[in-house]
Amino acid sequence: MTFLQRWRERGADQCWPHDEETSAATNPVLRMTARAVPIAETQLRTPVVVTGKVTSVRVQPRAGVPTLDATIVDETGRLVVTFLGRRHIGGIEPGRKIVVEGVIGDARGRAQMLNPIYRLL
Amino acid sequence: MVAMATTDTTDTESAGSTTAAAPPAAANSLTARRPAIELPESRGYRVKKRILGPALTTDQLEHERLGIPTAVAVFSSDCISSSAYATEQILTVLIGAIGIAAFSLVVPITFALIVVLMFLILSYRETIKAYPTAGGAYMVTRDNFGLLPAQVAGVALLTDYILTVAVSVSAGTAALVSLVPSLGAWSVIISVGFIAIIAGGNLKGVRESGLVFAIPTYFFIGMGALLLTMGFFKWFNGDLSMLHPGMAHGHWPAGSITRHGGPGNGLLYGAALFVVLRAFASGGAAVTGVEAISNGVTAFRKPEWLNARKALFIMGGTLGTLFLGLSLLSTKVKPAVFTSGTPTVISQIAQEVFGGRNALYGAMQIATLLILVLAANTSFADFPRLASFHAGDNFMPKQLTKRGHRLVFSNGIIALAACAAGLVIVTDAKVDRLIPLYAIGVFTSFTLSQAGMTKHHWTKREPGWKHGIWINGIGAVLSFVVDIIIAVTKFTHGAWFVIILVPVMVALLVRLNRQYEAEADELEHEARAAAAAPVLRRHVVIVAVDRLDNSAARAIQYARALVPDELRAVHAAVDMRAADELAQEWTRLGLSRVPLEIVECADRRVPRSLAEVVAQELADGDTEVTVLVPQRQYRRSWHQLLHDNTSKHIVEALAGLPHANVTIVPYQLSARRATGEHAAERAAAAHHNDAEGDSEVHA
Repeated sequence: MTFLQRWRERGADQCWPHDEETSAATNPVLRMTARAVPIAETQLRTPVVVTGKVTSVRVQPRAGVPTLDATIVDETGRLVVTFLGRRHIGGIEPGRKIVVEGVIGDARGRAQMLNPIYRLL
Repeated sequence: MVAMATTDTTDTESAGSTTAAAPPAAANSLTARRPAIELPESRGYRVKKRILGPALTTDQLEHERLGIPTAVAVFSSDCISSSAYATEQILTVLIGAIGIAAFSLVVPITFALIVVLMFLILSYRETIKAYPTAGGAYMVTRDNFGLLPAQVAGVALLTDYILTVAVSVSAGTAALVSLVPSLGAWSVIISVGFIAIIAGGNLKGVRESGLVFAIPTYFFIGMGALLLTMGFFKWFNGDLSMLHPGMAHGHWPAGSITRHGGPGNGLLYGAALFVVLRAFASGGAAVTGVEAISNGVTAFRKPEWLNARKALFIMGGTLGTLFLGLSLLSTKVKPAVFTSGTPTVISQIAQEVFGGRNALYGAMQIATLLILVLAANTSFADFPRLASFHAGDNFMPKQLTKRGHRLVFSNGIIALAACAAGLVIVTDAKVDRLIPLYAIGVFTSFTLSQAGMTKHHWTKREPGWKHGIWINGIGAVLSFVVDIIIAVTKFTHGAWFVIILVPVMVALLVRLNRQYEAEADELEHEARAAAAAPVLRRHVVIVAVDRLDNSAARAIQYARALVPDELRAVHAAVDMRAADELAQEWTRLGLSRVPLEIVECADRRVPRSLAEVVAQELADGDTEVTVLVPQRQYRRSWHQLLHDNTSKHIVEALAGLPHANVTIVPYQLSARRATGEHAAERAAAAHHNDAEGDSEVHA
């Protein structure tokens, strides 16, 4: 990733390369992102790491089953990430970039990842 | 309970209080009136109702059947009124070219025009018999030659209806100004005022009721008869003299038209024939209006066509007598023709015959004014109807077929009034400037309809068809010749405008027709198959939510009534903080388990973001998406200006997506009584506590 790309995606205050960030060995987030694959190339029912931008978040009201659906988009496709038992997760909001790790299943014809491990980028 | 059943729903206060009454007893709960929901009328409609009177219901659309005397009054005012200015128009041309000798040519030209009139009346006798239901040049031409020639006939007639209004109103104003010369400076304003009054009356739906028409028409005919009788009586007694004695010696009254060029009474030198033809063409205005009866045969008492024929003869006879009589009197009185248009020739004749500007003279002027205004009024009946025929055949905007508040073709009336007023303003309300434009259209339509009748006789071969062919054939040729004469002799004086206008308008109408036909084709193409197509498997309802308020709640309530496969609210997050607050509030309130989706909207284009969400849902090709857009309804139009119209833009953004449907869910602002939701609330409150409910209603 060039400096320019980083600058575009993260903003000025995050684009300077810091030691702990640059070293994949010490930074768990970077270790995760390094394994990320494009959404279009993911396979069902296999553990996978995907990174992308949250474009929408679905909030379930109190009366319903507590669920948080977030849609993640990269250049190749989109994926719905569902956090069961949560109504709100700080930081998961439209416009944020995240990396998630989990298993993708088929939810009525749509790709859905249930309760993934996630890191905010 | 008794009060509830007898309450008048139109009374808002009492209707409101019925909702606060105790729940109805079980016995007549079915017959009891439900809590009334008010349907307040908009302010525009209230103003319209105040001005025009209550709306007429469609079943009030009936035709009064007219007897011959009334029918003559209703249909002939246009035709007969032209005698008020025809002689003057002939003289205007002649005096300008040949001076005092003009008066020796007036009568021959009048005779020529009466011959034309005779043939037209004979021809129209045939038309009335052959087309007793929907006559008129447009229908006859369409039936015999097809749609395109009918457009020519129709447009030509429409132009002439506009000119009839302009000419009649200007001539009527001239009659008024002759009576009261001090009004001369205001003639344009007076003319436009007359047009406005006539248009207003027609929008109000002045029925073609006999009395309104009979009084002015017969008043004019009576005054005309008196004028002619007294005039000829005086003439034979040698009491009638020249009004301006100096004219015999070349002393013309100030402000009148005189001969251009040198002296001499050379009748037939230079372009004399051309001048005579041009005078004839100007006088051709007299013949306009003959078609009125054939347009309205259905209004006659049975047997319609026989009565219509009799009325046609009475009309033609009256016009011919008045026209010829006035022309004859003019040769003796020798009125001057003034460049300002006033005093008019007919008023000068009246002044001489009645012996000065006395009461009889005044009555004559008033009669002239009234019949001319009435003549303009007949155009207001004919133009909108003809325009509605055009529009019915997809050649004019569909709006012209719509009957308005008072069952009249309001749009046609407004269009006619606007065109005529414009024309009057441009020509300064001067009849002699309007006349060159006049009569071309009407003779074009005469020609086409008479030719159509000739073809009708040829193809139908009904009894007496040979006779008919002769009459209509001669009528067609004669009309055509007159048309050519008018077009050629008055080309440079303004006829060119009509000659260019008619083809341009026809081309425009044909273009319009192509558009309408193409639209109809697309709409009707395999409509049956489309209606039978299988319903899509999935129905997703998306409620566009800006903030959590009553209008959004109303939309969600409605969305649940739709029972879709999937329902969710979508908020396009322009401001992340506002979106967060909305999300928290949403979670807290637990709005009927409807999930809220917060969508990124980094470029702040809310409609675009919603369109993307919808497109996502549509991707499988088996989904019908309904987007509910809560829309605030503002009570005053200026309230609208205080807000952006995002909902309208959302509708536009989604318009192009197939199977995406937008439903506006209205929320009436500051009109709590109007929504069913609040009516229900009120009713509920009333059930619990009468007193409390009452106070809420009146709050």
